[in-house]
Amino acid sequence: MILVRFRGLLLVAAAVPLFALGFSGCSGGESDPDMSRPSEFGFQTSLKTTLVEEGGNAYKIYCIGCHGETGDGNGVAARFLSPRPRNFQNAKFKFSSTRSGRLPSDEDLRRTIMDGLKGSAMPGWDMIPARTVDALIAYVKTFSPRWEEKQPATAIPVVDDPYRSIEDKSEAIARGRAVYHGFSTCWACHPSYASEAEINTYLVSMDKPASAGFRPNLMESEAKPNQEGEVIYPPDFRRDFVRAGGSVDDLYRSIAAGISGTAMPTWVDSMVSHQTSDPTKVVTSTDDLWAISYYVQSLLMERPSRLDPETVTVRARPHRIYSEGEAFAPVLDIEPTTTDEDFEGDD
Amino acid sequence: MFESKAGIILIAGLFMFALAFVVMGLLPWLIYLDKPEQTMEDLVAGGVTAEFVDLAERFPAQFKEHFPDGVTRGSYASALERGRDIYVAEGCWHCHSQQVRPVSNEDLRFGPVSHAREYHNVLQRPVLFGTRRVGPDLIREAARRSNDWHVAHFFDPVLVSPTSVMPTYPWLYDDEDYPNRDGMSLIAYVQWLGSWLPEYPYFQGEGPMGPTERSGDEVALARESEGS
Amino acid sequence: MASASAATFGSLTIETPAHRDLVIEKLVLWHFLFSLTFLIVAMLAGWFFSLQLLQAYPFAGIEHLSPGRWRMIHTNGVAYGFIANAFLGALHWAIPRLTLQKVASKALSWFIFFAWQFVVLATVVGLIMGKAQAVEWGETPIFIDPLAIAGLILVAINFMTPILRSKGPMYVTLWYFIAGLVWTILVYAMGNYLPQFFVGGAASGALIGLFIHDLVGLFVTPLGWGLMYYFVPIILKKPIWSHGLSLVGFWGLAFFYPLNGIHHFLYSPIPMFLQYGAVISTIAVELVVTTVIINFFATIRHRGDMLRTNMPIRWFYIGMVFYFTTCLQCAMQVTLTFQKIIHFTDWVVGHSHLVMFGVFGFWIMGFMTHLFPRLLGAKGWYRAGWNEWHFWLMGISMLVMFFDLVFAGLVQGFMWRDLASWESTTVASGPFWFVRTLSGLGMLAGMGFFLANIAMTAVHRRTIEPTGQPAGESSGGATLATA
Repeated sequence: MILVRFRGLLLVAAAVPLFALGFSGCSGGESDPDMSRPSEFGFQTSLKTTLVEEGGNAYKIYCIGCHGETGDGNGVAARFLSPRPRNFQNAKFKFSSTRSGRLPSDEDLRRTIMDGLKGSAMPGWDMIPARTVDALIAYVKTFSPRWEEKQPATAIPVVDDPYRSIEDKSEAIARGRAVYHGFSTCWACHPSYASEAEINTYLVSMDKPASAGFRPNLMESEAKPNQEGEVIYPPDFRRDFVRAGGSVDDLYRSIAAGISGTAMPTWVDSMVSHQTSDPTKVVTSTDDLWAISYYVQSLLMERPSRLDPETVTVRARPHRIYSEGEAFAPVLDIEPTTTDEDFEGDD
Repeated sequence: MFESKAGIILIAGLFMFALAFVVMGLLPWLIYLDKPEQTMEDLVAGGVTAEFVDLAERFPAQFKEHFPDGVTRGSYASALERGRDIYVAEGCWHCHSQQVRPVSNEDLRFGPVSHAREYHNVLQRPVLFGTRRVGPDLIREAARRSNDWHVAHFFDPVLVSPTSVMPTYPWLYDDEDYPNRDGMSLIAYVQWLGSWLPEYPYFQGEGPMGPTERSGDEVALARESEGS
Repeated sequence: MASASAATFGSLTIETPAHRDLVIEKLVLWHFLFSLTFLIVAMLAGWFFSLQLLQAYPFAGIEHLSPGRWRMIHTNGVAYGFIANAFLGALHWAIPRLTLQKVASKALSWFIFFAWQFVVLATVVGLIMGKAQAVEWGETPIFIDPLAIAGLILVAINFMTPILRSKGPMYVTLWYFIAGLVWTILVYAMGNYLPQFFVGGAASGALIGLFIHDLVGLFVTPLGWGLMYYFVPIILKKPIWSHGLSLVGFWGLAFFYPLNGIHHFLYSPIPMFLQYGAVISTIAVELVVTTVIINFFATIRHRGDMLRTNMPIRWFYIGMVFYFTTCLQCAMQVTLTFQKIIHFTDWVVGHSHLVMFGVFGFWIMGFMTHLFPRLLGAKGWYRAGWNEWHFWLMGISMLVMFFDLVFAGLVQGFMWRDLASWESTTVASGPFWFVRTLSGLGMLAGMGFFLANIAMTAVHRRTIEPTGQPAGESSGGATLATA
C-alpha cells in the first residue's frame, strides 16, 4: 500500500509550478485552468501513457476498493455493501440514456462517476477532473468484451418538453399524477400517492378498467430483487433518493430509458395509447413522460428532512455483511425480472 | 504601582487576563446570548433522519439489540449523543473540521458556508470547529454517502478509499462485522451533520431543483474570482 | 550545615544562604527525569501517528493503541508532561536562587511532584480509555481537571511565597514567573470548564481559541522567557543588555498575548470584528517578541565564541533563531490572506512544532544540558561529543520537519483551493509525511544520545573530569550580582 503513496512524488513535481502559480494568483494573475488542477495530469506517469493506462492509475486510487482489481464488483469493501458494487466484467449497467439492457453511453458513465448514485455507496466524484473521468471511462470499458462486440447504443429520443416554457408547473404535475396512477400504474412497485378511489378514477380517465383489488401495502414501495438477487425497494419519492439524479431531465431519462436489470421498463416505447372506442383519439403520448417527470420531481421536493418515528414504516431490507472471502449469495430467491438475453439486444 | 509585586499580580496577572477574557471570550457569548441553545429534545423534535431509519432497515436484529425501543426519538437522541462522544473520544475532530469557510472554494467542495446558528446546540459543546483537515470537512456530511459506505469505511477506510490515511475502528463492530451500538451511533451522528439545513440532503445543488451536473464553468468561475 | 554569608550592595545587606539550603537538587533532578520520560512517550506517540499517515501504523485495529487517541497523548504529554515538568524543575532551581528564599514547603514540593505525575499519568490513561474532552490541548478528561487546577494552585502558593518574601527590586524573570503562575491557573480553569459547561456554540469556539493560545502565551511563554532571562546572563557571566527593554516585553506580553485566541478560527462563524481584533493583537505580539529577541542577541554580542564552546548557550541561541523565524511566520500567517490557504493544513502543524519543540523544547534542552551534570553530582558530561550529536540531530531534524510541513501545507492549501479531489491531495501529501517521519526519527535519535549521556554521566559521575564547561553556578550571591 505504501508504494502507492510514492506515486505522489510525481504529483509533488507537478505541484512545484503550482506554488509559483498560487502566489501569482494571489496578486491577481490569471490562473491557467490546466495548471491549477494538479490531479488533471497526476495520473499521466509519462508522456507515453495512454488514456487507458492513465485510467488504470486513477482506478487504483478511486475505484479499486469497491469494484475490485479485476472490475468484478468484488473489491475488498464489497462485502460490506448493499447493493453490491457494479460488476464491470459483464457490463450490465443500470443507469443509462439507452434502452433497458443496452450499453450506456460515455455521457451516462461520466454522469454516474461525477454525480454518484445517491443513496448507494457510490459517491459523487465531482472533484475528479474531466480528463481523468475520460480515462476512467476508457479503463472501465477494458473489463468487458461487450464494449467492442456491440455497436454503441443510441440514446432514447428526448421529445420536446411541452411544459418547459410554462412558469407554473401545476398543470404538468396534475397531468403527471394522473398518468402515474392511471396509465403507467407506477404504484404496482412504487408507492401510490393517491387513494384507491382516486386511482380508479384515474384508470377510467385513461380508458382502462378500474382495478378490482390493490396490494395491501399500497402506500409503500413493493420489495423487488435486482439482477443480483438483492432486496431493493423502488424509491418512495417522498423518502428515498433516486439514484440517477432528481432533476426533471434526469427523471425523464430514467423513466423513458428505464433502469436496466430492474422491473423499471423502457417507458418511451410504450407511452402512446389511443382510445379503444375511437383509435384516432390519443389518451397518452410521449409528452406525458415529461408530466410524470414533473410530478416525481414535485414528490422529491416534498421529502422531509426528518421522518416521524411514530408513522414511518421500517421496511424489511436485509443487508448481510459477509465475512472475508465469503462468496456473495443472493438474498432473495425471486426470478430476475430481466434475463441475460435482454442485455444481448442491439440497436 | 507597575513595579510592585501586587501590581504585577493584579494588573498583569488578573486585570489584563480579565480584559482579554471579557473582550475575546465573554463578548461573543453575550452576542449570542439571545439565541437559545437547542437541547437534545429540540434536536430530535422533528423526528429522525431517513439514514437512521435505514440503519434499522438494513440491520433489523442488531438494531433491535442496540436500540431496544426501535426507531424512536429517544433512540435517536441517545445515538446522537453516543456518536458525538465517540467522535470526541477517538479524536475524529483532530483530523476533520466541522466548519465550511467562505473562502478557498470550500462552498463548492463541501456545501453552504457555516453559520453561527448551526452551532447553538448541546452537541456542539464544546464546539467542534476543528483546526486541521487531514480528512475532509464533515459538517455537510449528512446523506452525502450511504450507510453501507460508512459501515465499510469505519471498519477500515482503506477498503473503500485506498489512499486514505484514516485509522481503522474494528471495535465499533461486533464479531460478525456488523456495526455495534457505538458504530451505529457514530454513523447516525455523522449522518446528522448538516441535516438541519434547508439544502439537506443536496448540499451540492444536485437535488431535484439543482443543476444536474456540476459544470466545469462553475469551477472555472470560482477559480477566476479566487485568483483576484 | 548551612554556611550563610552576607553580601553588601551599597546600603543593602542581604543574607545569602548556601545553595544547598535553597535548592532541593534531588527534586529538580526527578522533575527533569520525568520530563524527559514523558517527552519520549509523547515523541513516540507522535512518531507512530506519523506512521499512520504513511498507512504503516503497526498497531492498527487495537482500540487502546488507536492513533487518534495517542495523538492527544502526544500534545498533552508535551504540554503537561514534558514542558510543565521541566519548568517545575527549573523553577525549583531558579526561584530560590533569585529570591534567596526557600520555597514555601519542601514537603509540599515533593507532594506537588508526585501529584503532578499522577495528573499526567491519569490523563494518559484517561485518553487511552476514550475519556477525552473536546478542547484542543485540554483533552484532559473532565474528572482530572479539578486535580490539575488544585495542583496548579499549590504550585503557585509554593513559588509565590519565596517571591513575595524577597526584598528589593525584582529581576524581570520574577515578573514573568509571578504573572505566569497566576495566568496558568486562570487559563486552565477557563479552557477546561467554560466551553464544556457554561458556554456553547460559536462562543465556546472563541474560548477554546483563547485556551489554545493562552496555554502557549500565558503558561509556556512567560515561564520560558523568565528562564531565558535567568540562565543566559548566568552562563555568559554578563548582565542582560537592557532591563528597560525586558520590561517593555513583559507588559507587551501581558497586554497583547491574551487577546490572540480567536486567530485560530479565522473565517469561522465567530463575529468578524473579534477576528480582526485577534489578527491585530497577534501582529502586535510579534513586536513585543522582537524586544526579547533584541535583548538576547544584544546580550550575547561579543561573546559569539560561546556558541562554539558552550552547549547550553548554543541551544538557547538556536532556539532564539527559531523563535525569530516562527514569530515572523506567525505575523504573516495570521493574516486573512494567508489563512485562506494555509488554515487546516500541515503548515500550522509545522508552525506549532517549531514553537513548542524548536523554541521552548530547545531552551529546555539548554538548561537541562547546563544543570544535569551538577544535579547528578558530576563535574561534567560523560561525553561532550554525544551532546554535539544530540544538538545537531535535533536541530537538523527540526529544520527538516519545519520546512517539510510548511511546504506540505502550501501544497495542500492550494490543491484544496483549486478543487483537486481529496484523494489526490492525500497522495500529494504522502512524500511530505514520509520526510516528516524521517525527521521524527532524527529527533528520537538525538534524544537517545542525550538520555544515554545522562545515564552514563550518572554511572561515571565520580570519575568524570571537568571539561571546561562550568556545570551550574556555585553560590546564590553570584546570581544576585548577575541580576
